[in-house]
Amino acid sequence: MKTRKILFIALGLFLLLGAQNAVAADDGWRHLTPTEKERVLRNYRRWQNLPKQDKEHLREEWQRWQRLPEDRRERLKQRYNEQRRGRGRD
Amino acid sequence: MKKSAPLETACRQYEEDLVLHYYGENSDAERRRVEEHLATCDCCRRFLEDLHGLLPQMADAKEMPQTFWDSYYRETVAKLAEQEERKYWWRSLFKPMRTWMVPAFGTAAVAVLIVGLVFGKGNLRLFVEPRPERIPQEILADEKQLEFFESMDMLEALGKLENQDDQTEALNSDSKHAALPGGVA
Repeated sequence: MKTRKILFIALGLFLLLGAQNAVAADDGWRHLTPTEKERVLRNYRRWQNLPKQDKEHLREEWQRWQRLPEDRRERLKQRYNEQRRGRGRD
Repeated sequence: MKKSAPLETACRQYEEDLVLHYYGENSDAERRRVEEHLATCDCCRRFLEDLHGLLPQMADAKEMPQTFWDSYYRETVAKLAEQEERKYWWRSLFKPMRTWMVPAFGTAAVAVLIVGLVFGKGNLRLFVEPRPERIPQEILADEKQLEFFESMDMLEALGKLENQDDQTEALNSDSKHAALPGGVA
């Protein structure tokens, strides 16, 4: 009886958290500019065609990126954007 | 309670037949054989008499006191209630809610919805406009996925960017040391 109640509550919380994540992602998508949306979709299509080892490498880089300190991430992001803008001008 | 004397010992080979004889469950031939034996055997006769005295007592139903029946009734009612509760266990989730709470919560929910619609006009596109493009569910699975696909280009160049950043940091640090009085040029 008690176990069933606990399971019921846990399932409810799990669904709630899942829904919250999905809503957050949807919200994030809506706030992207058309260019950013285009980049996300392009990257997604590219990701699908990547070989397995490249996917693994990218996942590792993603994990590493998330572990980097906030200021370092900001600096790297800024540097990347500058380089991209520079490439765009060339 | 009257203390009964132990049973008289009967002839071993007649013991079982004597019990059947007492209940009248043996065949005619058996009955005759047992009766013939009883005529000659005192032990078996006394055993049969003892059976006549003892077995009816064992068959008597024991009279239980009123307290036993009261307790029995209470236990049965409690078990039935428990069984009923197990059947409708979800009802207990709403038990703490009083009757007035349900319409109160309903009204509050409607109020929140109205306030949300009035003040969240900017976000009404979600309900009004259908999403023009089909976005793969994998992207929208969670916020991190979206972020991952957004920064995929940068992740590919992450190692290179880090090297450049380290070099810049080293240069900055060198120039700071050089600028300090007595620093190494």
